[in-house]
Amino acid sequence: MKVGMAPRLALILALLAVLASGLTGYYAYATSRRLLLDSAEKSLMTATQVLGERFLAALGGAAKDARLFASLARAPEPDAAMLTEAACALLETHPEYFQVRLIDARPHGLERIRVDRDGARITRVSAPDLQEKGHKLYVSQALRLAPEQVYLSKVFINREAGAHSGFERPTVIVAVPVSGRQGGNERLAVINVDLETLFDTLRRELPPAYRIYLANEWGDFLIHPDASKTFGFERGQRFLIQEGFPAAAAIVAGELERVVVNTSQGKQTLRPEVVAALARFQPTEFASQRFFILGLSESLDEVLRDNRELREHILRIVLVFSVLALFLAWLASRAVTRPLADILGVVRGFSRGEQQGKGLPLARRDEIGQLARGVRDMQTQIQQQLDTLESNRQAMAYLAHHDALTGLPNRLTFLDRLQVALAQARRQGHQLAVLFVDLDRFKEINDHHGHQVGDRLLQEVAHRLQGGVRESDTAARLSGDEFVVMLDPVQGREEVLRVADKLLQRFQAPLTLDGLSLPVRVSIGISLFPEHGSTAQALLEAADAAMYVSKAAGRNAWTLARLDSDD
Amino acid sequence: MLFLLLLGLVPSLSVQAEEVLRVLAWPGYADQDLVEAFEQRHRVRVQLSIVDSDDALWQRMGAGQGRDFDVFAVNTAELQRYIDEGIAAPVDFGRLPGTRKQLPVFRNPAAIPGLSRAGLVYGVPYTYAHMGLIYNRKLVQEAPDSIAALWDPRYQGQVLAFDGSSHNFSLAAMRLGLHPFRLRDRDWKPLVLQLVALRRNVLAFYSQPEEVVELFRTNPVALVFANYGGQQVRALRQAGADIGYVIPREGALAWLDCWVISSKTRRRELAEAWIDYMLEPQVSRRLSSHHGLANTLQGEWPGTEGGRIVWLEPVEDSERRGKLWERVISGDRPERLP
Repeated sequence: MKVGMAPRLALILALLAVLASGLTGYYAYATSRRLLLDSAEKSLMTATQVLGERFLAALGGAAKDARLFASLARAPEPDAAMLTEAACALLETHPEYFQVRLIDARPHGLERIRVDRDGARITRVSAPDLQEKGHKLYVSQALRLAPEQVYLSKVFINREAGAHSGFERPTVIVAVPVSGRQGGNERLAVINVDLETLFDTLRRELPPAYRIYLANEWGDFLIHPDASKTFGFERGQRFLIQEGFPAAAAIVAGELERVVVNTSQGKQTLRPEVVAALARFQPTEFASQRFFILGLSESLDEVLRDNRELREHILRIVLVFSVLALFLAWLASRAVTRPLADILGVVRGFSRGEQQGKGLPLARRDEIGQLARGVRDMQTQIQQQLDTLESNRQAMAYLAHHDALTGLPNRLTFLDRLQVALAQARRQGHQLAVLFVDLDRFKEINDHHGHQVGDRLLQEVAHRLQGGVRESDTAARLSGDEFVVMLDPVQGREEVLRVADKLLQRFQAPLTLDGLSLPVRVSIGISLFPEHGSTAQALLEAADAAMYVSKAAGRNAWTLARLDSDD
Repeated sequence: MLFLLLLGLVPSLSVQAEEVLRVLAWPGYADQDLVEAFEQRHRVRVQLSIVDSDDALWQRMGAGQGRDFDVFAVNTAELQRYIDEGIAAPVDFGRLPGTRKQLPVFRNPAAIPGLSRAGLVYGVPYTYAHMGLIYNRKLVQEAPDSIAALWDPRYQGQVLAFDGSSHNFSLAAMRLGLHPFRLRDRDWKPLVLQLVALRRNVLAFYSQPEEVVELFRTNPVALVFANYGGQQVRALRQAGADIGYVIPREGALAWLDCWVISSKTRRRELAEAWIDYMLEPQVSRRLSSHHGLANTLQGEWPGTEGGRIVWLEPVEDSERRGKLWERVISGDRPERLP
């Protein structure tokens, strides 16, 4: 099936428009998505930094508290009551501390002062419940430190019997040695920090959609939104941050300080997909290279919630715009094809011979107008050529039927008319007459005065003949100086003779030409139908013969043909 | 265009659930690459958990009466309480063609005490080790010849003992010349005091072999009770430690670990496939080539070496040992202990 230009044009325009609106929509969507992600990543990284700094500050605070507690315990025989009060005060002001202790190096790391958090209460533990902790690494390792240095333990799940609220909690121990008089460390100030409580406090100011991750320097999760993924190493399974977030491997390896992760890109390991910011934090107050990897994540769903609305808006706009585009494309294609169709109509009408130029959008100043004007010019030119052709044809036709010199019908035309008139006369039973007219002494004038004068003479003859007959009669030039006149109809012989007389009368005056007075005399032979013949040939021959009789009789006379019976 | 727009918004479909085999084992028993090869061969996922003490193993298996794992590794002595509690299921060697490649002694339940009961076999031997003493040649002039070296005040704060109730009671019993696995009522008090004395002499009680390597690096360590036997010797030597290994004159405790199928498993066939796979040469030999452990396909069964090897046996009351040990390691003073 042939598809017209209008639908094709409309289709292309509509496709372009839909494409344009779709692309615009898509890029608007993509850009907004990227902006949202960028902003979420920035917010997460900022929040992670803030959270990390506060975490470090909290650990640093614990270090300061432990130092303070250690400084109170520097006396050779520390005031137990005062230290216990100080420990209680620390526990009261810091909900994340669950144990504050003073541990003697000898004997065997025996606790001297111990205050535990036990639910809402603060419990002072006294002998014989005080325990020996010399076999614990936090004791042996902290006692090896120089004064003022602070020990920071690994994060572990506290399983020490009698630990009250701290039991089974993710714990980090901060310890400061107290040097004795003889040098060497005599005791330790120890604070147990409950990370869960600490982070519950720290997270309070974060948006609720944020999830917290904390990992140790090997990448083991210590805090994870999914509690079953924390402290896997304590249960013989390892859940590593570099497995959850492959990009974190560089942080664990110490090659990178912080990284932003989008789990919807690349290797998918986390569901639901999240955007996360991870950063490494190394507490500075401590005599250890221990560091933590802290991370905050927000589900992609949450981040892109606004974008989903935008997406629906965009879809709607694109749909509406596409419909509009289709309509506009139809209009536009019509605006172009309509004048073309008009021009086509005009061209078709022109070829059918209708009046030219009507309906063409000639006034338009654009290409359509140019086309219309072009068509009009072409039509005009074609019309002119047609007119010329027609006039030429008419001239040719006239020449074929008339004598070029005198403008009278020629022999052919005359015979034709005569035959038509004969047929009519026979049918209607009326009469007609043929007058054979020959110019007298034409040869002499022609020879004497030249052809030009001869031609003028012939034209004069034609003129006088025509002026002497009715309109219904026909005067023709047969050849040379021979003319013929058909009178049709005639009432009778008398009428014919009267016309012959009249004609002779018209030839009595000479022709004045360039100072010459030339005689214009004719000899006439007359035949009548039906008396002298029933055919054109017979009538002409009869008239011719009669003309010769006139010539012989001295010219300037008419002679009626003889009847056959006259012979 | 709209299609493109929509394409990016289609939520990806979640992956289909797959079959999971839950394995509870010890460090070095199943390397990651070997586990992955098994996963590919059987188109399953293996969820491997590692335990580092008999107490932890008992706690984790007992918590769900065996429902939480399909197959686990336990020594012949510990196996008895798993049979008692109905956690261990009998195995049929006929369904495990891999057992034919094992040394004959391991296919003879009568030769291995504790492997069978009432004519049913409950475990497939996998690896074994004796737990002697590792000493640091730089700090210990003469190789120790007695378990008592762990209590030697010369090494105070330089001893690494193991955080496990049963072994430590047995160890203390051997030092006092008592039966390591059958304590009488009057034995408990002196043994608890022994353990407190041990506690006061150690730098730390460790759980995993890597901890020993780490502590060797950061602290002066003279003696180590080699709970993981040759595995630990190898790891320390690889880390560059100049160490020796001795079996003390009281004898060295030894364990033989077996693969056991949980009676509550719903994937018995897969569990059997796992055990059979573990007996394949490239898997079993990995124990010796990479981890310093013995395997059951090669080598020579040490037997008891004239009493120097003391194979673990079920103890009289592991719960009592466990509870007391918990208090010892928490630091309770002797006067607080029963």
